[in-house]
Amino acid sequence: MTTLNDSRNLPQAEPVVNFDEPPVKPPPLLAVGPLAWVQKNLFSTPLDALLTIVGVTLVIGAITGFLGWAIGQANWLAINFNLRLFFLGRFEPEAEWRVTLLVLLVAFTIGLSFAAWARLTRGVMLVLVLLVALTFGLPPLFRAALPVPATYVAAGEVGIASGADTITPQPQLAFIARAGETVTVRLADSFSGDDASLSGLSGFADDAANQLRNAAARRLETSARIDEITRLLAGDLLTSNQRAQLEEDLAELSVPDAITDTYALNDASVQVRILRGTTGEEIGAATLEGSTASLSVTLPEDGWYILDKGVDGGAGNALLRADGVFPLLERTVTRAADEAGTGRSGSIAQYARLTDSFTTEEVRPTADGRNLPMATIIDTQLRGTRSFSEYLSLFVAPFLGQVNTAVLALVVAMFAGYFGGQALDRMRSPANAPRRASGRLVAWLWIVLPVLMFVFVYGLGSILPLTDTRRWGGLMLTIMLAAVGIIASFPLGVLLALGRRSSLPIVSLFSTLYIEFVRGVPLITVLFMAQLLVPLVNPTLAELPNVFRAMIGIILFSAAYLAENVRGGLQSIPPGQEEAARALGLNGLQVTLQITLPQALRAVLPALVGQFISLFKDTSLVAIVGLLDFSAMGELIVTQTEFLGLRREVYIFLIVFYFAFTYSIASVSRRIEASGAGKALARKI
Amino acid sequence: MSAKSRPSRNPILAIISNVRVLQWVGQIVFVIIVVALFSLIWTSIVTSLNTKNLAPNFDFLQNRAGFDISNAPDWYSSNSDYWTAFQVGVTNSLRVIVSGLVLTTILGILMGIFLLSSNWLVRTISRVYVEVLRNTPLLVQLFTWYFIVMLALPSFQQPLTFPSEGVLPIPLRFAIYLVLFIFLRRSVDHLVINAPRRVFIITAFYAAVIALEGAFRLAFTQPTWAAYYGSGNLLEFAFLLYIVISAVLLAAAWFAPQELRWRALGLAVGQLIGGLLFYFGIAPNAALRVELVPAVYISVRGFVFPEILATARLAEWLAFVSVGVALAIILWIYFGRLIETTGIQYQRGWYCVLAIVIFAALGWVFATAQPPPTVVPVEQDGQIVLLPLDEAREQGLLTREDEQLYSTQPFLFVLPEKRGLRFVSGTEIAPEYMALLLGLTVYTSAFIAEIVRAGILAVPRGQLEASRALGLTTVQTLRMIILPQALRVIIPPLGNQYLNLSKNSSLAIAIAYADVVLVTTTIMNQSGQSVTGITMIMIFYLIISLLISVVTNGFNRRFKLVTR
Repeated sequence: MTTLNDSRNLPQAEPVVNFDEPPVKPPPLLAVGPLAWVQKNLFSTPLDALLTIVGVTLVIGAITGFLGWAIGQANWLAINFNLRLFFLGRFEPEAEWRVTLLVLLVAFTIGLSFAAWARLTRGVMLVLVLLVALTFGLPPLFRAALPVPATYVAAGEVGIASGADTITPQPQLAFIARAGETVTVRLADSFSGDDASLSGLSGFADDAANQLRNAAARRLETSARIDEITRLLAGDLLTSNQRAQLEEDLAELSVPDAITDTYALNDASVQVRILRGTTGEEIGAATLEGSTASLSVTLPEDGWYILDKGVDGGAGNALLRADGVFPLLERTVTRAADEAGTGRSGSIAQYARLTDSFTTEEVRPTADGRNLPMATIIDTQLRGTRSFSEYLSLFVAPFLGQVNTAVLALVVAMFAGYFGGQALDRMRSPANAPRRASGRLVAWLWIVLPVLMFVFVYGLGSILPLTDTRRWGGLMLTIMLAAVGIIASFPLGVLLALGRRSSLPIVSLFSTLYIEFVRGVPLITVLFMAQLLVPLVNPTLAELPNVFRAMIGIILFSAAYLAENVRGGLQSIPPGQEEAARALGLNGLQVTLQITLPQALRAVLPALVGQFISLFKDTSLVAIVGLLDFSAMGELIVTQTEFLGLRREVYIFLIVFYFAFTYSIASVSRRIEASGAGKALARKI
Repeated sequence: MSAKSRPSRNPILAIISNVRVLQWVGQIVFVIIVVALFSLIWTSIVTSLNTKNLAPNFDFLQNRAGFDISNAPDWYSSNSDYWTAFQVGVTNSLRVIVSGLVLTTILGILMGIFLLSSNWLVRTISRVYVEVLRNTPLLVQLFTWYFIVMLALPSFQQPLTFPSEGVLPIPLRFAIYLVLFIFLRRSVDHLVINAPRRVFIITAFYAAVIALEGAFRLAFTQPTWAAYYGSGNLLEFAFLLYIVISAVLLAAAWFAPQELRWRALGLAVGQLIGGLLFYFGIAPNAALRVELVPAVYISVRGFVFPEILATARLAEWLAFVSVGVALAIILWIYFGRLIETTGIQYQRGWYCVLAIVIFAALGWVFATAQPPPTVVPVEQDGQIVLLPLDEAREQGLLTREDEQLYSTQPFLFVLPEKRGLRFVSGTEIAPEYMALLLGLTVYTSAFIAEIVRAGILAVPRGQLEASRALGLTTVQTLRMIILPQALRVIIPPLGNQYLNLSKNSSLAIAIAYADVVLVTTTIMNQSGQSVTGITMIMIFYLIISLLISVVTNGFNRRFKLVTR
């Protein structure tokens, strides 16, 4: 028998002819199943395997690094506490109901759209219901089961030094609390032992407590650095340059004394009192000595309280753990005189607790005519590494607690639209077109919505009072600019597209010039032009608000791009259509309006969705001409002193939100297009 | 027909009902309306500017600018005029646009290929990359690059360096393993045909390497290479262990079934060899000590890269190189003819590269062969003296210009050097520039990746299969079948993305990079000449757009499908 393997021993010239049946190979061991999938998709070649290993390492590193930071270190209070600013800007609270109504209408229309063009599967509905249940169920659960981070404050009169600066603890600290809450103060004795535990302090800590933590951490770092330098100098992997540098460093370093030796921490007994902020009356007092003693007070009413603490005889310092004292944010609100409530009017300082947005307008307590130091987010910062349960109770629960009613309302409105649309179809649609009724309604709603949006947000003469455009901002402004831009540029864009394809040379030249000019310059220059030149055209235009000038710029810009999209649609129509229409005796206008344009618009609908998405992203440029849109709002928030240095958190929120918004629009439009419903939609329009 | 039925028609009526006449009248009316509208807008703008004494003109460009631009070139100071400031802005914009276009093309093509990878993980990661970047605004991304990435870099005093300074010991045994491995693979595959013996040799090699490395790991946890002979007991223990393992393997080989015997034998012998080499110190335990000097410094104040300086001898070398290039072109054309006439596939690309490399090397030899001047004039203690070159260099009297003048090499590669609070050599790149460049590059690369993916997918699969059936290699398939057809689809949208990148570079204003928009808005704010300023920016971008359109249209024509 001659097999192919032996062929190399044969003379080259002789052809080998194999008349035998080919050998029956056993089936490959891995053809189906997860292992086969892994081999085929991840390890098919050595290069593939290498890429997979590199990729897995990268992904795992990135995910663990990010989660470790997001849970253990990030401070999401800037997001939780500014949700209104992000979504509505500084829009007048009196007109907020209009936006709410509008958003519900949009949710209704989305539900109706699903009824008309797609179907909600039972799985999707279940997920939505579950989402609502979770947003309502989780916050109380977390609040009941999980502890919030502890608050640490330092007491005493000895200055605490770390590096160049020294901080002396404050004798009194003002805070706000609800009636019925319990404040417990005790010695934080678990930290008095050694530097390692002190440097790992985590939770809310006032500046003096944090100074203790810094001093301990600094000492540990210094001794670690000395060890490292000694180890490096013992080896011989250093250049002479490096060696000289390290020896110089080593000479400068010296280990400070342990904190417990320096400050006599928690040695003496500590006097602690809790006072009512407004009256100064004492609610509870205790002398803390040893680990068991603690002061626990249940507070009688909402409002200000004062934590007064002092070390007996002024000897040493104490580190106290004060549960129930949380940082506050000060804001100014304007109240009309006749408004019910505290009876005060004008500009009132309002204080809100960062952990759960509990707010009070009571006057802040003073001592010797000056405001008492209060537990602000600047003084009492969230420090150290946190546990997952603290992350849940401090950030997730308040966030869900803030958004749950909104989520519920949105889901209910969406379901109302969906089931309402289905009911409408059952009653009104003819049997041969089972979704016609809802389809018509939804098409009309989508056309009317942008107009309604403008009217609702801006106002309408005497019916709805006009709002102040300078206070528009946040996501509302972003959506508004994009929607107005795309809708208002539509007529101009269609005209330009028809003009560019026109057989009239001058009209065609003008349209081409306009389109190419606008497409050749950046949006930012168009915005600048609108900002600077529009007021010069006419004295009445000079008083046009900034927002409307930006809108004019965006409309002029968007029209050129829209014209190119529509032109693409017009070009895609076979010339036979126009010739046939002509042959039937239609004139030019009729051919355009009744034959070519409707078909062209049908073809460009997906492109229009794409243009809306890119306009939605591009409107962030209005930040440069001074409007506070969604992304500018992020920048505004991180420049407030309370949220200084939280840029990372804010930008991650922005990126996640932008991504979720645009990606969901894009994927829904892709799905509608793929399902063929897009054509149905176009037919209705 | 209608003319026949109504022969006696009013001539004036005939003229005004003529379609062509109507069209022209309509167009004239259109022109009049447009011109009237524009002149109305223009006159009202000019009048209101006149009332503020700010009539648009270009005379103000000669006025003193009076503002500083960070990282401006030498030819600009705050005493320069507005026109010079504008030129600085234009230069800065062009710097970002040109390097951005090059980098984004490379990154985009790479990500596009990753999007089509057969590896699920690579595909998914690149898909996430593309979707996240496409669906978030560039402005937010730029802010992220600048405020979060660039400003979080380490301080100037303790910068990131690459490579980090220090001594890197490279154990020579790794190099020897590599050489042995290649040698064995080649010789075994070519010479030793007997399968069991082949298995034996390869297995023994692996076993020896594993034994050696294992011993090193076992005996010396300390990474310092000098201590290799230090720990006596452990050494003997490891050696004994290897002897025992070898003996066990030998016994196993004796009893092992036929097909495993040679393998086990190989393992045993390899173990033994590895152990012996290790124990008697024959295994090369010397290491190459490489002193690493940082070439790149990265800190919050920017990036510093090595500098390449032209010297006086560059011209000579370049002359040789250009001869090489000319020869390469001739070779390319000549072999192109030969390939066309004879059909033999000459490797003409290699010949051309070889020609350039040979002439470059020749030129280098020639340029460096000439002796440097023996004595050079240098300034010492305020007066010019003649010193031997080496002595002057040792005393540190040579300035950078002197080095450029007297060096024997065609160009100097100068590493960045930090003295005190600044760098005395090296190319410094500001963090604003880097953030803008990275932001634009990464953002646009996501769009280009999608375009490349779509372009490659647009080539019918049959084309690939047919080219394989014809016996073309992978490279040939890619070069002659896939790319020409994919490029036809890729180039027009790619040109659009290039336009977008150049226009998006105007977002530099958000992170205070002194591009044309930022500089011109500063000029506008100072001089009040807003109309002129905006016009200048628009003209700049229109010219850039036009240039990019012309180039991409040229490429498009080159790759267009030639049909009859």
